[in-house]
Amino acid sequence: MLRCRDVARLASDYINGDLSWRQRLAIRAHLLMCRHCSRYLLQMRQAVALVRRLGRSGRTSRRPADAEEDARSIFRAARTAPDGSRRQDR
Amino acid sequence: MTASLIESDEALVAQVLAGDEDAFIPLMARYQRSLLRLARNYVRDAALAEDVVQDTWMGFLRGIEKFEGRSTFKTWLFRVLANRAKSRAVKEARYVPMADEGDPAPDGDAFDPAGGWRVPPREWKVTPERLLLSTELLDLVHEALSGLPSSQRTVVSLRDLEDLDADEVCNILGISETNQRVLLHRGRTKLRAALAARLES
Repeated sequence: MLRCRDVARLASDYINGDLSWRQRLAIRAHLLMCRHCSRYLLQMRQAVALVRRLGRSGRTSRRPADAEEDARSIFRAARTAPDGSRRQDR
Repeated sequence: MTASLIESDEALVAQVLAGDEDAFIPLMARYQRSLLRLARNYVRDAALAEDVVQDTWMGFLRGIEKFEGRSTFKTWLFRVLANRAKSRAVKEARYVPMADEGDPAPDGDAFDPAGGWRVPPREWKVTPERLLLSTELLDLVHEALSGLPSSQRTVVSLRDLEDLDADEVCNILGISETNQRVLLHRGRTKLRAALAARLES
């Protein structure tokens, strides 16, 4: 029988779907009887969902003002050897 | 231009390596933000992180690191970046190894000796709408993520922010599957706790 501590330890893997069906079944049986663990898992999912939202929000890094110009400069710099001569195409 | 936006990474890579400058623009646009985010996990300084990202692109364009198609281009690119950022952080003497931070298991004292909740989680004062729309909650989770130890932050970011799977993360960071799971679990547990501290009242 799983204890609450075990459920908390498996929570991250459970959310990912990384557990065996036997482990999943054990957790689901526990959750039916335990509202604390149900709440804990819900909150863990909500935390993960917020991180995903954060990734889509654009606030973790800004988009450069002129991405195209940046790309062209890097491309050209890479094709110029340190002595200033042009690299040959392969 | 429009056509190249939907081309696969591998097609763009082939064009770029054949000398097509235009193909590099969508390729770089696709990954620049993710690379910057990943670099910041190693070097805190924004300008330094930009250097590392630029060096990564230069290394790719000059063929110093060669993409040989053994993984996806994305995984390969992230791994090159991670390695470069790591050596840069070592030089700056601020590199923390991935494996061990002597970090105790989070929520360790939340349970009684029998394994039941000593301090059961309390209900969050938050509506589904707020979870979906509130910018204040995004700030909160951003702050909590920034406060994680760097190895946990890196793994949580790659899994949940960049949406990579476990194998890709192990490949990029050169860590074991077990290590990846532990770091992800600890990081997520702390994020939940940080949110709880603000949302329970």
